[in-house]
Amino acid sequence: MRTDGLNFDNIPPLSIPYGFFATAPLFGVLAGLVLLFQPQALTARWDPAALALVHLLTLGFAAQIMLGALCQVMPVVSSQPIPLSRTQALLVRGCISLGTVLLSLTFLFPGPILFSLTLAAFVIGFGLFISRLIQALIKIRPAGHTLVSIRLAAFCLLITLIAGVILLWWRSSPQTAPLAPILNTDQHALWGIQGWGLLLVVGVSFQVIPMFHVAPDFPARVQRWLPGALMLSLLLGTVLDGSAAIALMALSKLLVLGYCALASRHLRQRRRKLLDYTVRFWQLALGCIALSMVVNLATLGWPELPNRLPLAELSAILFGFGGLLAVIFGMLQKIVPFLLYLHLQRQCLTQPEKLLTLPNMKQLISTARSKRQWWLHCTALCGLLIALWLPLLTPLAALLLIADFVWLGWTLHQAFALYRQHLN
Amino acid sequence: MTSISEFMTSDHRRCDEFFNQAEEAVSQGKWDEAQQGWSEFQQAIEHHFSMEEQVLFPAFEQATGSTAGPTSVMRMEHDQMRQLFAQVGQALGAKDADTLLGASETLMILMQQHNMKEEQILYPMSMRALPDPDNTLNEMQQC
Ligand code: HEM
Repeated sequence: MRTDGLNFDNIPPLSIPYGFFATAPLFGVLAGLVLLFQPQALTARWDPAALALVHLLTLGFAAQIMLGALCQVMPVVSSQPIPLSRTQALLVRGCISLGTVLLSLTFLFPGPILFSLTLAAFVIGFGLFISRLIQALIKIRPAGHTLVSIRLAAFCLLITLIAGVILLWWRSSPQTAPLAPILNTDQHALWGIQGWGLLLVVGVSFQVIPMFHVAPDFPARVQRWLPGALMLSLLLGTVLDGSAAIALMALSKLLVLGYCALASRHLRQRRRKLLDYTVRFWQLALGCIALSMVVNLATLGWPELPNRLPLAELSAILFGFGGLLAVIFGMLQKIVPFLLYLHLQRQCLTQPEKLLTLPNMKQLISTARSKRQWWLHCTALCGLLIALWLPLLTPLAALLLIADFVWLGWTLHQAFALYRQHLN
Repeated sequence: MTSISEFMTSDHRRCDEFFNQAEEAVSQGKWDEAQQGWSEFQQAIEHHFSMEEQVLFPAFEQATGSTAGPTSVMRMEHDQMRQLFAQVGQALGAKDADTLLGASETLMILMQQHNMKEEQILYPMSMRALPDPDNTLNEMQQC
């Protein structure tokens, strides 16, 4: 049997995942600034600032964290690292960061030049990353359940990106657009958030909830079928139209609701009951995602409701900020200190006397810090929700949002400083 | 009959259980119980390690003709975990709950990602590579 293709120990250099993690909070802060100075962005759907806000958070923050986490997780779950060198990772990070800023500018000042630059940055950044990810994914078989979700999520990301590019083309340079938008804005958003974002959350939860919190495993059948079913309902919901599409959309929301109930039950049954803010972040996220599904179902049933209530915005804030971002915030509280510890330990293996003085995970990110992060995130979420009804309060919500991301960035920075200190 | 995968996976869970008891006792300030739970955990996990280091890994290395592959990484991770056992043991002696819970959190995550590599990759691979997996399992169980 060949074992030489296996790279068990191929944890990537720290600078690759950490680089993504360190850049991402800056985009959260940028999003907060956009909201602070353009408060109408919260509710005016087609407002350029609103579109910039959405993409600063999804591409600048969430996508960068997820790419960093994928670099770290792939060798652990599959023994196949993503074959990305340090320089290439830097290029990916640089292009996606630049592309996100350019995209935001293109929304504000539509035109063919900015559009071309945005396109170039994303093609290089995502093109390089996704092609490397696919290279790693095809080498792996048989695929475990997490990998099924990662594969489907990567597919959704690709669809989202392509659809986004075409939409942007139409917006900024309609004369040169080669083909009509295949997916409309709603569909682009749906593939991005409920496809890519949610599938990663689902896949990660199957793996980490039993693992970190000593909870029962998710039923094998659910692990096998749920990601595919979610994806299929999205796909058919996009291809079909009329009442069949509505029925499928409703079905997919119900599936997500079922998932939230199941995951919450598993969390409740965890046997590791220590105070843990990652658990709180998961609970918040599952609750918010479930609520947002209820709002979506209400909208499907009573299409005239959104005329009276800001339901689309409500659902987006719950799902995005209360759900996806909360999962990311919660996971970072564990992944980052673990990563730093792992690298410190590797470097001290030859000096056993140093090993005993290494900071542990809770010294790298203390429970008190995570607790503050949790409160800041909850407060910012409440701020955003209240501002939907009291627009005057939007600048306050923006400040809370900024505080949330500044605290995250500062926490990551402090942990890294401690790491550096022990390295010397 | 159980396979290497099933047997070792359930042994991981058994170790988790002891670990859990010890950690929870510490968080409630029940030091005697913690001591008890911790020594049960140590016993269970050292037994688990020796089944691997003395039987499974050598058999795997012989079957694949390589000592530099996955097993060397697994051995290294065992050593990394032993370092943390020492830290937790020290904190337990000093009844220093903060240091202990910090070290145990680190150990927990290290252990879980190690288990995941074994359960998802190494055990299934051993069952395919070993000439007589059932016999190896027997030897492991007598360890
Ligand atoms: C992970 C990636 C992405 C996610 C999650 C995402 C998400 C979204 C969401 C939620 C909206 C709807 C905003 C609203 O309804 O107010 C939207 C709109 C839009 N997105 Fe994205 N997006 C992503 C990537 C991209 C990329 C890479 C581009 C272009 C290069 C892009 C271009 C657009 C455009 C042009 C719109 C507005 C559509 C219109 O004018 O009708 N998106 N996106």
